[in-house]
Amino acid sequence: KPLSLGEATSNRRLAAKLRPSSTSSVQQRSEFDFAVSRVRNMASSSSASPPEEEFDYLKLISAEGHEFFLDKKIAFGCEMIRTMFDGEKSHSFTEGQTGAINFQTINSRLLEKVIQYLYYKHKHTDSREAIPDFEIDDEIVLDLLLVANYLHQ
Amino acid sequence: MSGEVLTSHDSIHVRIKRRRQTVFLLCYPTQPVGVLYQKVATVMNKDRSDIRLLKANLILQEEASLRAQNIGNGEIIGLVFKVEGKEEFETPEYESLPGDAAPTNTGAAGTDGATGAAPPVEPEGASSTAAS
Repeated sequence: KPLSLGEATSNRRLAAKLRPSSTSSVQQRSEFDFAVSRVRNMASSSSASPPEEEFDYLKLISAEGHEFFLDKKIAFGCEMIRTMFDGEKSHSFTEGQTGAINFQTINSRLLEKVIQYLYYKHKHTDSREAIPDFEIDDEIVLDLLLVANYLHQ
Repeated sequence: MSGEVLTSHDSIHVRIKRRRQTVFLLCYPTQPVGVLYQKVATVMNKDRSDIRLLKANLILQEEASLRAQNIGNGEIIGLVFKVEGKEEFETPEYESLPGDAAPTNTGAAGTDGATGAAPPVEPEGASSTAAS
């Protein structure tokens, strides 16, 4: 049986009373205003625009066949990759044509970590602020070290 | 204020995942998510209308910014394609790599009891391989 209008209305009034915010509505209001002004500030400072850049990407394939796509200029943070695509020797690498590199000795987890590192490197190079540590799980540290050594050649 | 250009220091990256593929994209928190849609469509060679980006089962809106939709550095975003010949989209599913530190648990299964949810795939053998 549907509630009468009176019952429904009084239920609503009761629910409003029970809502936590009703007892600290003043505080809630000022917090809300603060949040709004913060958003407004962010919006105005967001008039700074990202650089105009062409979108170019490469594909890196792990030992298990997981395909990773990443921005080409980020990939070039790795000297070996850059040589394959950008250097004077690039014409001698078939990868230069296919735009893909098969890393048959690097597993997916490590390859993903490498790519994350390349983005971290891009973000923090020439930074004037303190650079946060790049987090690496203990269990992959040694293997990652080998991979890093390999890629640096 | 206008004319200011953001630098690499302001940049973040996202990891857009579907099955056994991951698309890393450089982006900026103030950019609209539409930029991600555009780039993913390019990489996957799909029409924009045939793809969807998801975060914790919510469809990301093209007009709103990354920041507005709480997309942070390193965030994992699910990618699904439209099922061929139908108006619906596939179930989100991606190969979860060990050590994925996704701030939000997008998980392998997009919906409750979803079929085809990919369990984390362990690499072959206990020790990961590297260049000999």
